[in-house]
Amino acid sequence: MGMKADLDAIWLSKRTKTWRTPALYLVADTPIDLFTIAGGPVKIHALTAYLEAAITTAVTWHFILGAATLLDAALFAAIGNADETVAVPLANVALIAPALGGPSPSILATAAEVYGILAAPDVITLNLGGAADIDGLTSFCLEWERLSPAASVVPSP
Amino acid sequence: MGAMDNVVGEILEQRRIKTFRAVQAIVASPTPLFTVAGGSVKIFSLSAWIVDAITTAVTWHIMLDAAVALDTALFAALAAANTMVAWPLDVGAALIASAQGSPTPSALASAAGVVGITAAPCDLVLTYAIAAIDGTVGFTVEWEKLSPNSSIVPV
Repeated sequence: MGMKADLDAIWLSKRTKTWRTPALYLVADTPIDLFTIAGGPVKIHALTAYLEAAITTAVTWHFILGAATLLDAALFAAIGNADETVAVPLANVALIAPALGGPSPSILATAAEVYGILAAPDVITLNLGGAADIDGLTSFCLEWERLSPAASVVPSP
Repeated sequence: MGAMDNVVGEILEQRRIKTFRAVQAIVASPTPLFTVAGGSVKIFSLSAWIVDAITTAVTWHIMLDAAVALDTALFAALAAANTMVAWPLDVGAALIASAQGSPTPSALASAAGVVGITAAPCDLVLTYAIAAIDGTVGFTVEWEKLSPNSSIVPV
């Protein structure tokens, strides 16, 4: 293979991090599209939230792939300090409260033997419960690999 | 080769590779899915992407040649469109029904302590029983070379 073909092959097979820029999220917009998977299946290794500013209200959150695949057990208090992270377990197990540092995969995910998931094309959504909005800027990062040459993940509009 | 070519060549040789078998109907049993050649490999995952639903009560099963089962036994392949199946890569672990999102390694593979396998040159062969598979399916094998000349190609 030539250099371009080699680089193309490396590019297609690499583990990719897709970042969603910091934003505030409103209950009124629930469910909120975070990432869109298109073109083919992917392997998701991690979904991480980063609280760039504190979340001070008693909002709860919950992540779902498509219509039915739960990426955590249930709505969970999202209150957290600035500069903290949350590892979404990618399984029907509970979220763990934000912390400055935390295991990834989360310890509850590994206890459930979940280290990553296969995902068919669809949208990963954030669902907020309660009456409050997320009042701290929060960004998200999805770590994934292609299982098909045309697969892609982009932050949802 | 120049220095850059050497670096790129080494990355290419050492990287984890995903080999994709295009989405298509499966019309024969056995159907070879992938061929391992040239040396041994380490396989991390084998997954199926069901694009068009499988609506009949067919069962399916994948083996290395006719010798090493990668799941316990023939298992109902009924599946909705746009769903995934993670093969456990272990004769002791059953397949899990397809879902839009599905743990990889499968929960049963992880419970059995299997997160990958080594494989000598062979074919990965799908067999099915009872009826024909009436959906369309793509397969992806995720692997690394354990020998410089190892390869996996879709059949």
